[in-house]
Amino acid sequence: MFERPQRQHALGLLILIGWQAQSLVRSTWPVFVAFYFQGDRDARFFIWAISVGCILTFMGAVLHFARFTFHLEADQLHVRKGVLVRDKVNIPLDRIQAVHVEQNLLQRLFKVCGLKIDTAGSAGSELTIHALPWDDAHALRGRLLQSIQDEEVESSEAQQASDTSEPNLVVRLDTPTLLKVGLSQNHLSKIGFAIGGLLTFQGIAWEVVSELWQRVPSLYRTVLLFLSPLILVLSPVVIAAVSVLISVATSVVKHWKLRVWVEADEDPAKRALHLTQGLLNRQSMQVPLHKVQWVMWENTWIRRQFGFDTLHIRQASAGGGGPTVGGLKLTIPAVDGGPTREFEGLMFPSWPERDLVTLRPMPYAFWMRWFKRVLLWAPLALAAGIALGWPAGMVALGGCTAWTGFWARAWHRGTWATTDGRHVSVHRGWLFRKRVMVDWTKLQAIQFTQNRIQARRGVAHLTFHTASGVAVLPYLSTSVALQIRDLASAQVNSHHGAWM
Amino acid sequence: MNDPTVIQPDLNPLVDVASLPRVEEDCLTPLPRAYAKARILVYGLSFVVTGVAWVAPCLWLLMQEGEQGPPAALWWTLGGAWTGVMVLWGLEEHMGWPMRGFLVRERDVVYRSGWWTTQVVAVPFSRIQHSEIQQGPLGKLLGFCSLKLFTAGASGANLNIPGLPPETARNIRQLLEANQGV
Repeated sequence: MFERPQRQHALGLLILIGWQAQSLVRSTWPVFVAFYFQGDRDARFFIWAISVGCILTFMGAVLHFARFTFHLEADQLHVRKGVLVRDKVNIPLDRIQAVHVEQNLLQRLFKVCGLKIDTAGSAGSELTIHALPWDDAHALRGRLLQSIQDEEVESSEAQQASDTSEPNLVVRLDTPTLLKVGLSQNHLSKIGFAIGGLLTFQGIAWEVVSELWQRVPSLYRTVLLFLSPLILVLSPVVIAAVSVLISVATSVVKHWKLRVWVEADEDPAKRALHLTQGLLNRQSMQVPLHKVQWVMWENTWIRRQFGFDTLHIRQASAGGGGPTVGGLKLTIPAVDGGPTREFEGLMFPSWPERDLVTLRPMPYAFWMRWFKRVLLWAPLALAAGIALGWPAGMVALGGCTAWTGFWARAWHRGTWATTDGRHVSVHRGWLFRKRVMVDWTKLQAIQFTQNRIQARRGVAHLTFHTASGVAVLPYLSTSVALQIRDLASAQVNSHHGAWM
Repeated sequence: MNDPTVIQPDLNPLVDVASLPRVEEDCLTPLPRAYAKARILVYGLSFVVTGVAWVAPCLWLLMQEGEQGPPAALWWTLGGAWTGVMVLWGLEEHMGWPMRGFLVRERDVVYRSGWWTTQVVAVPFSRIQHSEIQQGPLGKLLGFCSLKLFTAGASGANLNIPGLPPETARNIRQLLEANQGV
């Protein structure tokens, strides 16, 4: 199986047509808009343009489909693709970092799924196979990650109904937790989006409301007019409620039946983390545990009330830089204390190797941060002083100073790290708290940074670069920073095992 | 409570921090003078080009509007900003030159740069995915090149050592290839 060059499932053609059409529309939409506004006289040009676009899309998809073949040979995945520029890509299997299987509604209808392969060599996923039968996709994933044998691949039915069959289940989201995940999303962006939408379409909205108003019987009009102050007061609450509902709905759809389990194997190099989730777009992700480079727990004030974090796990990826950039991402919501300890044990088995040492930023960090924040807010106080007189300016300056002082203190208290001499766990943030954990044996580079003032004050920053993100220890005393740098450097240089 | 900013020796009994191999910053190899010349040349050119770029329009305005000329505030703002940037840049170049240097150890390569903000980056040989020697027209003229060391991912861990003599860059590369499996 997969030893001879093969094409995708025939449905891949349909998906490719959709994909090509999408990219064509995305790149040429201004032309279509221009044609549309030419008026009736030139409508035929518009029709011509659409026809040519359709033909190009269809031809492009057919050629792309025909040219795209893949096969496995000598521990490498060989891919031939491209229409005008023909590519021959060979990916060594040991360089593959993660393989994710996805299935949208159309793919589910035809019982096929898409496969995304990530190496550390490109900003996004290295390769996408749009349509493969579900079982074939899992078999290919097993071969690519060399972790499971073909005969052990679970069938699609077993995957769908798998409630108890998964080994070493770490996280399973039940409905109440799923609702909590939805409630703890960032609603502010959605509220902002709703208000922006209302402002943008206020003209149209006003017309619609006026038209509806004409149709309302006069008795109801009187009642509505009487209640209008109440409606005005309640409208922000309604907007907020709708935003929260949208958040809950999107979370439920995305994380439906989320399960995370560990593929156990005697060989540590073959242990892998699996995640399945999704109601409309089903995702099945797999990351070998030894390929995990960077792990981040994050929470907000609401999530802290529910007592859980969101966990981001990253394998090596050219996108690097943490949760927002590049590569295939594994994000697990609603991780509380128990699973957190379990994930620590899985991804950092030797943590803590020795007694933990706590590292905190020097007091200079607090004063510096306060000073910088006061400088940032001072123009506001100055403006208040100019506009409202000097007493108001002084009050504003006092307020700004107190607020930024409180803020700097909270930041300083929330910034700390622990290390056992092999790993480092960095905590940051006040309202939005983050904890980044890395293994020093997997570091790519160690950066020591210090400006002239910091050199006089005896403080420095340390940045640990991994293949998928950084961990920063800010404002350490210079001697501690140098010791930690040398220790981390010794750890990475004395490590001889697999790291990626 | 113990001072958390200091590593407690009794908490870490198995690691003798003093015995760890240190990055001996005093032993850094300085970059060749040819690269310093190139940096002075770039600075000088930028000085002239940006100077002309702000003085020429002001002079043109002066000629157009006769004796009145452009407002004094414009002269002061543009001139002040330009002078400030150029002085700071010049200071950084002058004071930063002795700070620049690299160190090749058995298992990693270290590069230090910057005067106002000093950065010391260490990249282990075993983490380097590929390397590149780059030589531009100025480098060809003055005889230096840049050695770029690329690591996995792109979280800013790539190292660029500019201004190396081509022979040194090639030697480092050979050492790198010989030590990659270590």
